[in-house]
Amino acid sequence: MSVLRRLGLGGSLGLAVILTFALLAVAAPLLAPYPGQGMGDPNVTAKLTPPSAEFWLGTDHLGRDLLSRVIYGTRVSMSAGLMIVAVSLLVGLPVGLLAGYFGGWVDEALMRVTDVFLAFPALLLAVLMAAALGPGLLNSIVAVSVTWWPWYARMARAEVLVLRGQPYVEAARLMGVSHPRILIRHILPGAARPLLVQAALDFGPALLTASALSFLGLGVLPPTADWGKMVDEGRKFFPDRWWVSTAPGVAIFLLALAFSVLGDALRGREGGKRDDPS
Amino acid sequence: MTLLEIKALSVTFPSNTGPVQAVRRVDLQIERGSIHGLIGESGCGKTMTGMALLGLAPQGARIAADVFRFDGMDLTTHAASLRGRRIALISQDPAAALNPVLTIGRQMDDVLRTHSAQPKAERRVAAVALLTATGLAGPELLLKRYPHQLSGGMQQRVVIAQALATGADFLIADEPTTALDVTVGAQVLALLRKLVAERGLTVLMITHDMDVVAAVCDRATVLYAGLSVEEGPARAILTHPRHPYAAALLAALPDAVPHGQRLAAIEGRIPSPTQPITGCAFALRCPSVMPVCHEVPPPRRGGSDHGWLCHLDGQAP
Amino acid sequence: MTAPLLHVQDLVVRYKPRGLFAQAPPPAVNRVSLSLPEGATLGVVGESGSGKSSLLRAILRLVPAESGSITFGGADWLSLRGPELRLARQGIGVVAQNPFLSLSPRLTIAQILSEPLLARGDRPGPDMVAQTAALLSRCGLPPDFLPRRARELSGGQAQRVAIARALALGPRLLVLDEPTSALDVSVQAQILNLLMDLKADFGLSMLFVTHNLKVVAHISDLLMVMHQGEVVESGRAESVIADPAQPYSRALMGFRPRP
Repeated sequence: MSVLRRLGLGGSLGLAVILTFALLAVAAPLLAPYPGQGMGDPNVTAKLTPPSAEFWLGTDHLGRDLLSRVIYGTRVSMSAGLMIVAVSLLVGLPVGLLAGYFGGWVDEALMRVTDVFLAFPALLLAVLMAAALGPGLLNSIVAVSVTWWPWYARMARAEVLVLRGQPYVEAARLMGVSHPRILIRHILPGAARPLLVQAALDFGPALLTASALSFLGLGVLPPTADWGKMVDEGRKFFPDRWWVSTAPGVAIFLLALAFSVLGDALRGREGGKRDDPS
Repeated sequence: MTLLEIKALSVTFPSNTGPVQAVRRVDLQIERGSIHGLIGESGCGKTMTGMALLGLAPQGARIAADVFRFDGMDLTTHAASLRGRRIALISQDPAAALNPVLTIGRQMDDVLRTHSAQPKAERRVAAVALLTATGLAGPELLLKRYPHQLSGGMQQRVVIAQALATGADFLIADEPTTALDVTVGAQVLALLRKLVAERGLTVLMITHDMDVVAAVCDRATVLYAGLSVEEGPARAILTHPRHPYAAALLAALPDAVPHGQRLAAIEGRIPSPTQPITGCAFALRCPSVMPVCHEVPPPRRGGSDHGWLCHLDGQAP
Repeated sequence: MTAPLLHVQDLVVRYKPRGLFAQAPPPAVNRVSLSLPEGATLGVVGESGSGKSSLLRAILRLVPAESGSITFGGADWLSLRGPELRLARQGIGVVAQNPFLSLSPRLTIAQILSEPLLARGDRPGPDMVAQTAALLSRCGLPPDFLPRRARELSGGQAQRVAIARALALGPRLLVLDEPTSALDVSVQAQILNLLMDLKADFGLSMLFVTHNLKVVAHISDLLMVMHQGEVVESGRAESVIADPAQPYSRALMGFRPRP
């Protein structure tokens, strides 16, 4: 269990929470008490019932079991967070690699483009993008990713600028190794690691942003369960029927916190484990 | 008069794979007003010995010694309080020893202020005097400079001036010239020699460089695998080394053989500090090894002036 | 007389001024000429700021030359561009000061030694494995080092790997930049012996740059002492050591009582 020891107590707890949610997402049909309601079937006979033995977290305005909705919502929220980070990384990392490695006008051109995106407030840009693209899960992922990738590009560029001057990279150049190969074999592995840690840290904020878009009505379409959307639905009944918003809200909170804590633990590791030769 | 006396010093770190013996058994006796060389290659424990003297051994280190005495005081309890008063460190990298965002004047003053109750103006005069004593030209101007505006040699002189400012009479110089150019390093060594002569300082010169030993050391101790294997007058060790390791180290230098000929490299590696040593630490690499060397720790040979640990009676090549 | 393998004529290297209005700095390398005959070893000695590293980097085409010419193997070395340069560089093997910095930390020794072969266009396979093992053993390390990584090695072992890599493509010239300065004396002797063996076996030409006059004098045929960007002394190694004409060279020789 050396992994857990390295992560420390906080990091291990974070990992445990994330794994629990991942399990919920994968096995939603098996774990949800009412899979049908989880997917959106109304249950009009039990509208807005408070938490009970039958409905652990209560029901919403259509009588759907909130526990099942939250479990199904895990699927949307986690995949949204994952997709946002993945898409941003896939765009930002190559841009940063090329800008940092080749420098000169390549760097100028690529970095000015990223600056344009960075110039807008991130959430505002995401809202504008989502509004322009129309609601829907995929569109909201695209909208958030557009505001996200420039950070990875900047970070990757900074890493490459350091690695480019390393003697082992120079040695590869002097051996006549081609540019693509130097980039992929000698620079990428070093540059990718801190970026992956950052990605883990960003998973929480990505999830929050995606939820915020849903909350604003720019995310998934009903009847798909989504935490942000559920908080928005429950807002109308707050505070009398507090549980409707509380259940998905706590879920967002827990998962975002878990990623943040895990990311911190990973970053601590990264800080102490550079490629120091000595 | 003996200023520093150490007998059977060991520095050990506990670890999962058994104790790590950074220093196994070091004896050291340094006369007041002399420069004593501590010679060895990486991993021989020379820096750790210096750190133990300064009370700066890393956390978790277990320091033990039969005798560990500085000017009549026990270093096991007093090392930390003597540091910065009687004992000062001159490190390899002067740039790292100076604060990059403070002027030289400010840094000199900080040291002087903690060691005397002089008013500011007098401290300034003292700082100028100390910088002059270390051979720095234009000390008034220098007080306003930042470390990065100085060359490596000048930085090292400032570090020495700071050591003097503490009032220390014992300097531990850990490879003080290794980061400097040869010509600049020679000047810094000459400065240390001069300070010893003029101020009665005592210096422990930790080095791997025989040229440094030849240039300034009165006596020297050769370390190997955390053991002091030979001690004696520097000149005798350089010209007639008695321990086979000391002899091999000198023979491995490029100027030990005629131009273009193969050098006498020492094959093999230093024993790992986790490895217990039963016989002689150098047995595995020694050209004159005998069966007894693997079994029995070597006795100390020679006299009080020049001694060495070996089963041979010192007629090493 | 045959043409030298490497010939540098009146080379000037000057770095750009640091600020917009800063004056142009003095040249780092000022009209330096040198000639390295095939099979010979030339030692370039100097302290920091002497221009020896800039000279080396200009020869390796890592910094541009302001003026002067370099010919390598009879061809105009400074006119090579892009892919041509990439291929031509394979005729020069380079060994840097710190092997732990110049060997990729994430690759195994086998991968590190394959890298130049792959760059030449060789195909991976059993032949390449055999070739890397042979290179390694030529440099005094057994093949069980192949799966290891550089950080698991001692300084001397890692420098042997770096030398093996430099030899992988059968270079005509081996460029050594302070190859023993980070090593202990006893290990330095091993590496110098290895270099002398390689020189004898392959008839390698070597350009050896260092601040340590004694080290380079020992294995060089020719010596060149640099100071502030200029060559202050040059000649056959034995004569420079035996009777250094410049006070500067004498200072670099150090001093030690002889038995």
